[in-house]
Amino acid sequence: MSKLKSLRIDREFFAKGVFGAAAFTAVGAVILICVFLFSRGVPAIWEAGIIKTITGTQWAPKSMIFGLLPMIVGSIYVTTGAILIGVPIGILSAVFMAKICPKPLYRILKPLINLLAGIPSVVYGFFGAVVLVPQIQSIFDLSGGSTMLAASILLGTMILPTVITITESSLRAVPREYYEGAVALGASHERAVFRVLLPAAKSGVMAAVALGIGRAIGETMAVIMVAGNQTIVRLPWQVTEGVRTLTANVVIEMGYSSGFHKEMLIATGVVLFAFILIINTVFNYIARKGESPKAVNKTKKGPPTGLVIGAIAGAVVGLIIVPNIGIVPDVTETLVSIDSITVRGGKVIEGSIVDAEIYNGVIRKATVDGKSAGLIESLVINGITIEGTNVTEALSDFPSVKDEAIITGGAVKNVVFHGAFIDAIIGALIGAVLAALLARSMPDKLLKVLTWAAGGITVTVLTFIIGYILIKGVPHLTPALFEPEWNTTNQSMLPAIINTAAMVLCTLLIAVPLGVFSAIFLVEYAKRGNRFVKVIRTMTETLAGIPSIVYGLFGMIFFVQVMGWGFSLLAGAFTLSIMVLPIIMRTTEEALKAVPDPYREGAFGLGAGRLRTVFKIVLPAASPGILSGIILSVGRIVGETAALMFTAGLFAQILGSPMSSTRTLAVHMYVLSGEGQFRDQAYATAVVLLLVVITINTLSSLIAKKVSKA
Amino acid sequence: MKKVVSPLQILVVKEGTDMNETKESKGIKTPQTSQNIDTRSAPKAVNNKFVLKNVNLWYNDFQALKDVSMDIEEKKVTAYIGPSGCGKSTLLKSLNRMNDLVEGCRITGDFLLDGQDVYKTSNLNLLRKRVGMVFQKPNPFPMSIYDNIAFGPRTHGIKNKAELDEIVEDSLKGAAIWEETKDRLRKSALGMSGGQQQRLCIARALSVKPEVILMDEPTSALDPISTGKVEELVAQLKKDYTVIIVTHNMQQATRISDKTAFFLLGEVVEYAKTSELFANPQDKRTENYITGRFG
Repeated sequence: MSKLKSLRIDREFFAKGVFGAAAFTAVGAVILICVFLFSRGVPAIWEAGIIKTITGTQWAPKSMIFGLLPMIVGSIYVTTGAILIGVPIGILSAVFMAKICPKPLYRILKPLINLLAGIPSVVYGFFGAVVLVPQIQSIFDLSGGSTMLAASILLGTMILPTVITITESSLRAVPREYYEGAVALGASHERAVFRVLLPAAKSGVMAAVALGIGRAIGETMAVIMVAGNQTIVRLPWQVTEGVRTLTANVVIEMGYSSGFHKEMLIATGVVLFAFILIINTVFNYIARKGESPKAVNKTKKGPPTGLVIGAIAGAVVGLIIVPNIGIVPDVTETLVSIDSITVRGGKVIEGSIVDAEIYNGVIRKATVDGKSAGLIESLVINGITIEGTNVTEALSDFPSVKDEAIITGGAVKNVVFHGAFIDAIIGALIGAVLAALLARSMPDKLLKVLTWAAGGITVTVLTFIIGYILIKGVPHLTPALFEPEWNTTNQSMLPAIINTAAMVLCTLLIAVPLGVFSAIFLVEYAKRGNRFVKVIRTMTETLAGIPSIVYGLFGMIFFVQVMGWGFSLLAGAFTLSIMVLPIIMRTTEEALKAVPDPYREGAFGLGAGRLRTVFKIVLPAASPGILSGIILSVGRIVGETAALMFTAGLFAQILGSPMSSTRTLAVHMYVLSGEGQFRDQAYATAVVLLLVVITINTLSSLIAKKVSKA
Repeated sequence: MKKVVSPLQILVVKEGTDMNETKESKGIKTPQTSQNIDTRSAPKAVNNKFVLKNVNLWYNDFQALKDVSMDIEEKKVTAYIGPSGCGKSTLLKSLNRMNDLVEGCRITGDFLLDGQDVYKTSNLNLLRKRVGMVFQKPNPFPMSIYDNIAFGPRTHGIKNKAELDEIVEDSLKGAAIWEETKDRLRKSALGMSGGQQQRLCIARALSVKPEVILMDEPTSALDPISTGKVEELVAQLKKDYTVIIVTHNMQQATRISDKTAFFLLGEVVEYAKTSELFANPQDKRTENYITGRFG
């Protein structure tokens, strides 16, 4: 009897140890990433000079010049653009879905939105590259359509499902009594929805916006496929210029960097990380401020929030539009006159009719009558001909030429003051006033129209994306694409499909026990309100906000290089494990918490130990919730590209061992879309990815139904 | 039940104007007695604010109201009592068509408000402005006290700040909560106590200058002291408004109402002056209920 008892206690003790160890490992992973990032990135920034790194306008790794400003500004620009497009449409669409749209339409819309939330970013990127970029190029008559505008529109579309889903569920969570109260006062449906329900759902809407921003700023693959990736960015911006974001900077140069260059890429990751942390903190603060009972008693002064938000949005819109039109001319000082310019093909153009920009000493965008003049071969200044296509040297004789200068009216001129700054201020003021007026006196009927319009836009855009991919892709699903061996002519995706399955399996083998055990420890073993639990929870939340490229960076340096695993399934799986760990932990925690305490009390009351209670009573009851978290993770793994390119590598054959390089389907899609001659195969791959997402969504909705029945 | 023949009338926009004064009440036999709570006014002719005729209501296949007919007197408090699920709240919510929000709800019969059928009105929002409602659970909006009250008038197009200020003050005074709130108008309404919240909701209902106020068990979520305050308030409100109140509490009905209707299984078993209904119930079922044999 006593032997039995001691055995049982030992087993309990052992189990607690295992669960605790899992929780510590999860925390260890976060700490590892933070330590790794900061211990290498911060010293690098320090060495390069903090101010110089943050404000440096030039990024030239070969010359050891590491100015991050173009990328920082690029990330901010692209994200702002995405928010301006995605958030208003997203919120209005959510209102549409939750409160306005007819039920039959909703039954089609909801799965469509879920589908779009699950589509891998490479597919979006590919769509942007083949549809959006050429359109922008022709509409704005540009030499290339890969621009900030393209990236903003694409990211705006990508964050739509996120914004819609969260806003919709928070709208649905608003107590019915609020609606009834408003309607009972004679408010119309629209008025009740917009003036009572939406303000009441504010914290949820905030969370939706925060997640949207996080997704936009952390997005890598889709951005590099449409943004152009130039490291030249000017203030204030022009939306028709190419741009490189922080994430793009990492992924573009990670593959070949070494030495201090690599350290500076890690530093880029640190800056990105810092951005995410700041955004999360700010939005957490706003959300908490809105919810805490303390705030309720605080005296609220000043204009209503809607007015402020409207004014800010208007200001930003004005900030974009007006400088792009250009009202106030630049103030310039004339340096030297140009007689003529010879462009490629020997054509000589009179200097006075050429307009061009000089950036970092290089002449770019030479135009005559608004049309591109082509590449410059030589120019004649003061009667002296300066040969060569590299105009940097030509201008090196004029040291007074600033980094940014212009050629106009037959002379090189320094820009002393950008008129666009004044334009921006004017635009911001006009936009703010207009938006504030509009927000104040927007009639409910107009809001209803806007809601329908937003719903319409969402449906159209999303249907178009899916339809386009299906129409272009399905005809190319040929047997050749499913041959067991990949070669350069068949571009078979079968190996990639098998590799993806292996990657999913391997990642889950690591992440599921770790995540589920940690959650069990947090919910069943740790005392409620324990500080350690709080720390773990904050950490997992932080981990969830890190862009996948940062995981990729960490994985490449830690697993691939330090651990010496090389590009391998194992390195990829470990990297992805850390990435999906927060998802599994969170969903498992929620599922465990949802199991009613009387279940546990009932088991304890029969003399069952904690371990037995957890495994026989709690886990079975929580299993659908846990399963849905795992399925969500599978979606992430299947769609991931950025974190895998430099951890699992690009090897296109069926993997031989866990240590062999492994190309998954999403990575395969990225590689294909980069190569012009395999566009059809890329479409076909996109279709297969879509099918995978549909399967995953169907599974999770089946499970959700089971949960709601139970 | 007496029958009232009233000419069909176009919905009156402004309160008090062009009221149908010709309504005759042939059936009323009893004059005001000393037992009546309201001894201040004793109108000779009684106006019926609402006239309900042969009301039937279904939630999908379930019939929640069976052939209900009754008149609601103007500027009186009418109480609906009965056990849970008897249809009293259902009938209340039909009066300002809140049942429209319930899916599968089907209604037949006449609901005449000043002679005009509320189910034939073209302007639902105006109807709800005229027939205000206070709910079982206090439901202040998550806004400041001021904005809660101003929501109604703003909804109906009042934008002038001074006018709004006046309405807010009047409404809060009308709900006897002005003294408690005048220094914290800009603070969130969610920070108030439950009783204060419910009086705020009454003030909010008053803000749109309704003619009828429907109260759906307004004190069931409140403590006894708050309940007392709300009851006092109801007694004052009937000077200016027609009040219909659903209550589970029979003592409450006797304390505040002029007339009481006893509901059972979707039928109105008995509808009479409160004093009579409780002192001398005509129906056995009423007697069983008010003496506590079921319910």
